[in-house]
Amino acid sequence: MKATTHTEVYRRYTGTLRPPRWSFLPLAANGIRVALKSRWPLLLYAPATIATVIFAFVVYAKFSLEQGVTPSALGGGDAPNPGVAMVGSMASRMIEVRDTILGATFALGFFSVLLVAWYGAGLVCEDRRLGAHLLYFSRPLSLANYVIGKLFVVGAFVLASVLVPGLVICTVAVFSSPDWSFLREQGQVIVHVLLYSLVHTFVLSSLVLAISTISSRRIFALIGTVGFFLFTQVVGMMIAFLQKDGRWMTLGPLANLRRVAADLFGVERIPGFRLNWPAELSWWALAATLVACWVLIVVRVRRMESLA
Amino acid sequence: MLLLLRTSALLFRTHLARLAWSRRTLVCALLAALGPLVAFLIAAASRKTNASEIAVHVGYLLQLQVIVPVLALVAGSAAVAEEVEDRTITFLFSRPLPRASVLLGRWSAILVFLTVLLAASTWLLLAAAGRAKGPPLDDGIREPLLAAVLAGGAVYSALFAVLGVFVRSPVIVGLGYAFAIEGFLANMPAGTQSLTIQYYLRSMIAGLGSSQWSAVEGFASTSFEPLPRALTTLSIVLVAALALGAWRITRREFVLSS
Amino acid sequence: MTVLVEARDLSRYYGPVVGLNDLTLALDEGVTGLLGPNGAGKSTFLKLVAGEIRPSRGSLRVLGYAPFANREYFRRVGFCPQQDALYGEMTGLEFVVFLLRLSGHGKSDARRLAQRAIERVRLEEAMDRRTRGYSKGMRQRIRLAQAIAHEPRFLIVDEPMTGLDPLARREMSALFAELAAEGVSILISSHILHEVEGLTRNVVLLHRGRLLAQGPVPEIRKLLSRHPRKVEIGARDARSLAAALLGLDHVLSVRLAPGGDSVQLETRDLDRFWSELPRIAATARAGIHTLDSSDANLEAVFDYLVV
Repeated sequence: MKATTHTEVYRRYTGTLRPPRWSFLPLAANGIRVALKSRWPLLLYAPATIATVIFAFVVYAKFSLEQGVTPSALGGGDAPNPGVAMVGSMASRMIEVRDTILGATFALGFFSVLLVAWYGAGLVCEDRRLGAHLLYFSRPLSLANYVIGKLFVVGAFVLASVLVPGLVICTVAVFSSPDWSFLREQGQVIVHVLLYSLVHTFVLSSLVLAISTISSRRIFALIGTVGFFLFTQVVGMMIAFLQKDGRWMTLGPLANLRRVAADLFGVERIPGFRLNWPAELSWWALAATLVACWVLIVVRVRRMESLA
Repeated sequence: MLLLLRTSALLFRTHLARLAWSRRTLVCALLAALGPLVAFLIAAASRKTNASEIAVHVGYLLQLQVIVPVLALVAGSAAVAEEVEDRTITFLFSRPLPRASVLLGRWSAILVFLTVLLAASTWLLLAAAGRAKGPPLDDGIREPLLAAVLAGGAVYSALFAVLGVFVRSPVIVGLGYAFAIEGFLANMPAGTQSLTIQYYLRSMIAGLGSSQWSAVEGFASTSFEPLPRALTTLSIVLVAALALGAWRITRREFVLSS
Repeated sequence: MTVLVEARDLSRYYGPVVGLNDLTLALDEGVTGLLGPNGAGKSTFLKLVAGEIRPSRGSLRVLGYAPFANREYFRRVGFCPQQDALYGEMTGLEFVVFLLRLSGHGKSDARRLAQRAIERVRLEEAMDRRTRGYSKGMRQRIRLAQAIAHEPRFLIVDEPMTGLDPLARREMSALFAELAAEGVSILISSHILHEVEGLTRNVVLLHRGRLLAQGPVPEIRKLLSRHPRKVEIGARDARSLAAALLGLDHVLSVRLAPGGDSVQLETRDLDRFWSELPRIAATARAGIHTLDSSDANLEAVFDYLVV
């Protein structure tokens, strides 16, 4: 058989290739769908769920006490539950709803790190290891869309762990406060919950993505993420204690997030947590961390893009 | 038994040689350098803190509580899980060897590797802390810290090595255990501490150490186990973990993807 | 002939996935090809035979042993797995020596055996290089070397030809033939049918975890009575031969090739056809010069059974 060629049908493309504007959305949606396929990691939400229930009840109890219900009678019925009575007495000592929300956020800080490590560690390094980036970047997908898509995946899981508890507690406060007093007098707390959740999510997600870009395997990124938060936290705490200078706490992003949260909510003291350094320092430390993270992400992902 | 020892020795030698080439070793060396580095920076930068304060704080809070479990996790989890992940375990398990020797031989190599690394790291940490002002560090700081760190390396690495026999991702489960269980419970008040390895390592420090360890927050107010009891508990955990791992590895099938 | 492998109601499940289902067979000594499309259960069967995994149900005896974690059995068996895994930091020679020493051989003995095995797989020039730098073919050969180094009685080889170039495949086939001639029984899985056919007539056909057929290929073909047999006859006067063949009641179709120099026909009774062909050819004076029953090969049998 005689061979033929068909070069005459090919013409050089002279138009402009314009990547779709929202092309990060399918990437993010697919990432979330894939992450949700394994059910066991969702257990990491168990502490957040338990804490939300407890703290929501504390808020409910606080408003009930303000309306004259005795701590022992909170559970309702003839035989008061001792556990409920205990929460009631806790609530009687609780001053503001925002303190409750901050308490819940601080208590869940470490679980946020576990969540961000689990869902974010493999996002970039596994793409590189498995060669998936070759497929992504052979599509009209820009670097920005790729990174935003990945950020949305991890961000969705972190946001759920910090925003939902805050909003649930606020909702309970709105409906259990007499004459909507919570909404009228402390409505800004809801805005603060929203703002803080976004800051918390953005910082943690950026950090894990940066660590993922420099790791060769998911497992290393996972250890790196948990190790980084733990190491910086312990070192910061230790030096602050040795130097008797709270400013050293700014070495740890988790401590900075706590300080920033307290600043956003306008709180100076939370029992069980040290906040003895200026909030501005923590804002600056977080900003510096974010700049470092994003420089790293852009440089590393650009290299992936050029290799693709 | 003789066959077990012979094949364990062969696997020990081979794994030790492999560790020398591994990138994991580099990661471990970097991790081990963190304690001395922090001690050096504090000693160099601070005029308020004396040598013993730096040594006990960096040794107790960073070296013992963070570096030892993480190093043991990185090195220990590789004992069996690395063979499964690399799918080379087929070659070992299609040989007429006692399967337990894979765990015991490779863990022994990891133990030697960790002992050298942790001893060097702790010695450097103490040397770095000793550069600060104040009286030189005494044996009441040096020996208990070294003993607790080495014991921690042995027990944690055995636990994480055995974890690799039971679960597919020992690093993930190990991370959860080391920080969510050990890190959390060891710093809770009252009896829950006694459920952690960390508590018995701290008990070793309390039993062997001088009063300078009381400078660590919460140390003086904790009631630790007497030294013989702490050592016995750690030994039982170590032996029981290895025995359980040896029992499991002889029965478990490792389904590898093609 | 001694029975080498005996499986009775053998099943293996991976959670809800069925790897092998209710397999009952007996394999004799010699070379046996294990065939089937991807996902047929070949690797599962080999892993069971190699003692890597346990049956979920049923029983399996190989050389009279239950294979899983059986040290006595492993002394007599060599396994060359499919997965492309090696200890990258070891040289080829170190790798084989290491595994021989784990099998209980002394240092010098292990070295001697390893060198001999490496020579047999024709890798002696690269044996002092780290396996990390080996090509795919070299990796396959060193895996085979470790499987044959301790001179096993039974060799289990999973997809040995995958990824090899034609020359390497030929060498590999020659080595298997050599081993078989030395009396080593071989169970070899593949989906490259003609290469298995070159090694053995005995095959086991698996499909979706079940046994589809077992035995010599021509005998299996004979059993497939619902498929008419195809025969191609080259003849000087193909047209008159075609006309004569149409008169036979077991001949179902006759087709003249486009060039007019051969006849392709389908018959439902090949034995009768062969006995009647000389008479027909003589009557028609067709001048037959070639005869070919092309669908008796493994490929055709495989197609009839699986597709």
